Amino acid sequence: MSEALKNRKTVWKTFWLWQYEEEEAWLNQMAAEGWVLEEVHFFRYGFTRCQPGEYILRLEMMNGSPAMDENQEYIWFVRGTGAEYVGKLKNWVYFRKKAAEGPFELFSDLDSRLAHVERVLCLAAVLFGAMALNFLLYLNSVFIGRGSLEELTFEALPLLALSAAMLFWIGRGCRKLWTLRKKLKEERRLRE
Amino acid sequence: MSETSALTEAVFYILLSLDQPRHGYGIMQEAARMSGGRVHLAAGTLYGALNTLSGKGWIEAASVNADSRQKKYCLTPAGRAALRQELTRLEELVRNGRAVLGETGNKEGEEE
Repeated sequence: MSEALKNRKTVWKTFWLWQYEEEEAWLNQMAAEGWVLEEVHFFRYGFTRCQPGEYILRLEMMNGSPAMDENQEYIWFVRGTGAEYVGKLKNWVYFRKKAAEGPFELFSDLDSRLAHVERVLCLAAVLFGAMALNFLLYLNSVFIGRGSLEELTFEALPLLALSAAMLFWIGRGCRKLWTLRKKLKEERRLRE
Repeated sequence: MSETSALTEAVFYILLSLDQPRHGYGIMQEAARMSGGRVHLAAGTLYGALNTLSGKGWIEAASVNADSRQKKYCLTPAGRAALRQELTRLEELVRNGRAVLGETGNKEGEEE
């Protein structure tokens, strides 16, 4: 294995929309072990060698594409505070900053944390709605469209079950985000 | 935000630090310095607050350096007035807090 290859690695991993806290924790765990995020793709993370604990990683879902002018302005703003822009994936942006340069957070109060959770929840709810609609249309075509249960083809069932499972899965994600939002709101009543 | 409600700590320190023109990182450093390292404004929180405050007319963009993408901001008279009003409110809090808990604020100082 060449020197260059030894200092790079690719990890395939899946994080769902509502698992961004876990994703961030995992990226920071990787950095603590000496692997810092270098590039992001769907399900694929590219790392390079760093000193263990050299970097702090943060990610955020933006309102719309990171390529939009106002979001570009934000990315420049964050870079201006000493952070490096690692990359983007759909509406998500990834930043890293050297731990030696002090603490690195994107949100330092409950209001902005709450606004971010609500942004993610909103998208998750739209996904849930789309999935629910898909499920209902499917149900409709399978049962009502055919008139009777006897005519239900056997091969339609796995797809229906898959659709139901996805609905359930996204629903759980929405509930998780909802709970997080509620917790922040309750805390917000006491302090900022 | 109604005119009589409290400013958030972040907003208070942002306004205070913009007594002279600063860009984002400068505001963060000044807030940390003034608070003895206690207040760390995070980039996202700061960015959102700067936009809100600009919208309210409490701060404005100072001259932008042509070859830099870092915008500098400074306090407007309206922002200064808001800061003064908040200071009056905070003084009331401190006055009442001291009246109940004791003037000195030291650990045994409950009986003042």
